[in-house]
Amino acid sequence: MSDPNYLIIIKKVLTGDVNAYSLLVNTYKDLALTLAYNIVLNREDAEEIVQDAFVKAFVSLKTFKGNARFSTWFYRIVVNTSLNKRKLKKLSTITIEEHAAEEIPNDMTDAINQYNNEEQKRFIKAALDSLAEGERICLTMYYLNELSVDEINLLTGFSVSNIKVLLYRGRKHVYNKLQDILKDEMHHLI
Amino acid sequence: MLNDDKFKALMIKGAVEETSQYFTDETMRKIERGFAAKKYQQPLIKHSVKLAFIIAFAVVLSALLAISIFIQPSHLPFNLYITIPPIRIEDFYNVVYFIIIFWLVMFLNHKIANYN
Repeated sequence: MSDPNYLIIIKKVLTGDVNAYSLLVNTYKDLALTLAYNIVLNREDAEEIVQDAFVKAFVSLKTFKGNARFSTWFYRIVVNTSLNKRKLKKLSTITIEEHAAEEIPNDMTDAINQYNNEEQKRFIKAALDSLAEGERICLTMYYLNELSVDEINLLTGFSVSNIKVLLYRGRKHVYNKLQDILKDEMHHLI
Repeated sequence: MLNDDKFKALMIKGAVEETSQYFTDETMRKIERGFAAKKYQQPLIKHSVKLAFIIAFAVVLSALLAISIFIQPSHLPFNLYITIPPIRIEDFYNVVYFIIIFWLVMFLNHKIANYN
């Protein structure tokens, strides 16, 4: 959804057209659920969190100034609601000890495309679930929620340099894990 | 380095969770229930009553200030005086200890609530 569009919808909602809010719900629900799921790792809890986040966003919609993107503002509510659910004040801080200068292995997209959509989804999900929390959350925020490194810094409290290393390492680990998964699959087929 | 379009496509393909079928309907129902409740909620004190209290308070305050500035007590047709009984030193200390302990307990309670 482009920036001017959501501003028009917000204006409609604030003038009393509550039904217009369903457009925002439909646009952001899946990515918000993905973000919440990667924090709490429980699907039912994640759905409840996202519903609560939408309600909270509706109630405080008049405080949205429009100087930041709506998605950033809304995802902050999702992150805070997720952390409340886990009874945490913030995500666990990470100390990056090594500089990730290793090469990223060849991407797996050609190898994985040989499988059907269901299996591809299963493999990718398994690879992501095996990641450390910081890597998983940063990858989700950067590649799916399309947040910038600075926005991720605001939402998570991780430093900008940490985020870059987590993204780099996270991708490497996903590719490595997918390599292992696909090798196992080939082994089972043989 | 981070702009890996193939990786992004991989993430979109496999990492996006989908909400349940009636998610939007249930969310909108929750919102509409809360919105309707707020719309029909009457304030505890009517706005006009609140305004009347504020105006009356302002008028009385202005009148008292005017009396105290412009009229000497000796010109008033009545005498006003207040007799304050002498405060014992022990009562004074008790009040001070109470205030200190009260704020200490408030502070501790606040810290424990934050910790929990």
